[in-house]
Amino acid sequence: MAQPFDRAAYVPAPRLPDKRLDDFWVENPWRITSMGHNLSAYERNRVFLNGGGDDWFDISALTTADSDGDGRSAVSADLDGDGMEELIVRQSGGGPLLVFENQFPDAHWLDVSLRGTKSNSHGIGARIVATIGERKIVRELYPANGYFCQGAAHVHFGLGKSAQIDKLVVSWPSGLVQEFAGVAADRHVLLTEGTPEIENRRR
Amino acid sequence: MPKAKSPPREPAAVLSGPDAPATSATRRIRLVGGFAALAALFAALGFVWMRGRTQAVNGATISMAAKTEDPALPVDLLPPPDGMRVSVPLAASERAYLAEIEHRGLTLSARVFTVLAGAIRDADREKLASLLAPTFAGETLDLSEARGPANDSFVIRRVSAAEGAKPGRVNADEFVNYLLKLRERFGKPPTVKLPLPDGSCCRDGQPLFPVLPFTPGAEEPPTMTIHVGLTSLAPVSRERLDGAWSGGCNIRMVGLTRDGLAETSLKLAFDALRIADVDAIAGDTGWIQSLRVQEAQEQSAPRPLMLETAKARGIDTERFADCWNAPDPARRPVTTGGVFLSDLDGDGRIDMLVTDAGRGALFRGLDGGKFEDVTAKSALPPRCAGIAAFGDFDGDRLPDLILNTGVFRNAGGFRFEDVTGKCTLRLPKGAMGYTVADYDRDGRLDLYVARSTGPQPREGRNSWIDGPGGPGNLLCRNLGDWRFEDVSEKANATAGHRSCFTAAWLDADSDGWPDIYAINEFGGGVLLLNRGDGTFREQPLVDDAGDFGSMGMAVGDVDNDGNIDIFTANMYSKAGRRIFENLSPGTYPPEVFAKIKRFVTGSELYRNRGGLKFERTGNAKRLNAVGWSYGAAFVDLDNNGFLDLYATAGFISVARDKPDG
Repeated sequence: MAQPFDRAAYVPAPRLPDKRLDDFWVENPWRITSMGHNLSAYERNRVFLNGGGDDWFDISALTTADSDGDGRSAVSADLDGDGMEELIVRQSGGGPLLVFENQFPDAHWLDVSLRGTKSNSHGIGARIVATIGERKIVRELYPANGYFCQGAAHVHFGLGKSAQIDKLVVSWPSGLVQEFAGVAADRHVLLTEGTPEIENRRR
Repeated sequence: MPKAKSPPREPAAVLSGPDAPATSATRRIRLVGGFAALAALFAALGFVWMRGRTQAVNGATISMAAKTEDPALPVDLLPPPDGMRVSVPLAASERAYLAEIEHRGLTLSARVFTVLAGAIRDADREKLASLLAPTFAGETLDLSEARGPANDSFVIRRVSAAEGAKPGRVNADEFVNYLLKLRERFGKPPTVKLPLPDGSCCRDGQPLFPVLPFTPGAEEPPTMTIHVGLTSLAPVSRERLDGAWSGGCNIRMVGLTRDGLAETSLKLAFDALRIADVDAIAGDTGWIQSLRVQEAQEQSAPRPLMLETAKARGIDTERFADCWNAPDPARRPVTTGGVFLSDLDGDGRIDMLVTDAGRGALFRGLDGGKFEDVTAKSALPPRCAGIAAFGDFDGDRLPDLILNTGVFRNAGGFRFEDVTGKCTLRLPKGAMGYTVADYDRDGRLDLYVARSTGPQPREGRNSWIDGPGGPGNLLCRNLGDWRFEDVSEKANATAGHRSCFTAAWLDADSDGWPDIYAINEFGGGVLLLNRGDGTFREQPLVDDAGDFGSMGMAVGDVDNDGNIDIFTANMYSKAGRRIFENLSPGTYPPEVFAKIKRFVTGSELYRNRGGLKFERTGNAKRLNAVGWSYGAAFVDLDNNGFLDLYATAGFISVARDKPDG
């Protein structure tokens, strides 16, 4: 197939750059990064609050997690076991590793780890559905993969004001579907494939 | 050299420009360089154009009428690099026109927005009024009608004309009053400090504000920063550059108030009677004909909702490379390393591998979220750079590690045994990402490898639109006992030889079989639907994918409808948007123009409506303007059961007082 955009791009400047404004001109896009110029510089990392599924609010400033460094990777995990997820951010400049502690007000939660017997050992690929009253929260157990990062192999549920999950259904990669009723919140549980007992993982 | 070094650079260079709306700083200067980068695209296109052929672009056949290019080429500033084929871009007159627009944008940013920001900061009514024309006609939005989430910990209120709010028509005095009223919460001058030259609350990893301890309502000296940034610009008449202009800008105030940490931001459209010369414009008066508020948002929190704590957790961040400290900006790696989480000893605490261009490190998670450096006893390679993935490949319940081309068995006690020789995985150098899942549901964890075109693909093999120049992603099936089979082709899992930085597993059609979404550096990504028979079927998410320059992604059910949604972290450029908006009609065939407009669309949220129907919502939901974004994460920060979004931004920052590309 012909290549409408090959890499031989070269753009002569139409005139001299204006020194008063520190103008610059790069004749070839592949050269920009080696020319030592700013390129989308000092942009703030952003935090968007999900306002109920179809509305997003930019709350970057309120989090102070809006570093203007050259951000690259971001992954979340509850590091201190308080049920609120921290953010771990990698940047190529402007602070190479940032760990943002979650200071949002406490709310109920449940972390779920899986132990596969027939399925793979950490239950990767399982779908876990939490039902609280009329509400369903669907999560999949895939270690989050982003650019140059990986999340942990468990699932986090934020539960708001609910201290209990009415029904927790695990669809294992093996095909087994297991249901757990009345699961108390605010802990990290370990569920073993084919076993009705709920094990406390931590705390 | 870490493999992170080069690949991201190439696509990134395609787009450039001032960033996301709320980012620009008081002293930030806009430039023409971004234009150059984008114009380069046209150069390549122009080359094809001149040959007057019919080209197939992403399956669509586009008739390219032969066009006689302007034979009068401009004088080049520099000769083209050796061996580089020179292709002629837009007509010289068109390039000059676009450059004039960018030049005025830079003039506004450097010489006018600084004055405007200073006048608001100082509550200088006279100065503000002096900029407005006697015939000024403005529009405001009433923040008392704003709505948004509110609780004891934060209040967010937004009002938007696009969402039906009725703007109020005001004269110059009333508009000045409106602006000054908005800044009032940040305290009276002169207690307001000078603005900071950047757009951030957190700089060099440290919060800028004395955030803790902070007592709401106490007599703290207010600290406020104000930023005004240009978003769009064009002359009203193409033939009259000395005449009227119109455009868009953002005003953002952030600082400490009696309500705590607060931000007020406005999106505005403006009309100018003229844009004076660089040296005259700061002193020009009465030339802003109109300012119309299109969206306003106020937010505050008694205390910051997050807090940077790496050092307090026992992490020596100084050990990691930071390009901002590198002596030669031109030799900085684009990506220095990543971060990979796992519970390596099964104690329920998160452990962490940090790869780095300097010295990587393995951290063991301790109680209270603290970390212990266990690099020394891990027996991992001393230069721990690049990409990695944890996964229990041998089924002993302990997560093993793929680190670049090496395979390491978790031997317990944070020790890793190098089993690269024993393992039949043959991992290619220069891969961009690993991701694990059991795609055939046989109980063994398989590996998917994302691969990009690499730093220097051969000319003619690569396209900037849906470029098929990549080596192809790999799917490695785990056969057990450290034996793996490369089933990439057999399973149809190469993702069409796109240039892929990141891929993620998800069950897109909720059939229980793990699917893959593979993003594309040069166009739309592709969904690989697991047929359940060991093979995958390729399917685009939407017919008109808006992606370009996708570098990262996140998956999760954002609306709790049971269907997994997809966020792609893409490039975004305000300069690029201006340029595309300002191209003469008919410059390119509509089909081609539709493609190249994607280059600056920005990040995208694909909402999964079920039945493999996806809907692009990034633009409508304000998620596209993140900036130049690499990595992103869905995370339920407030534990309300809805996934929130964190998206990184910023490509290469060299000097705060220089123009941005």
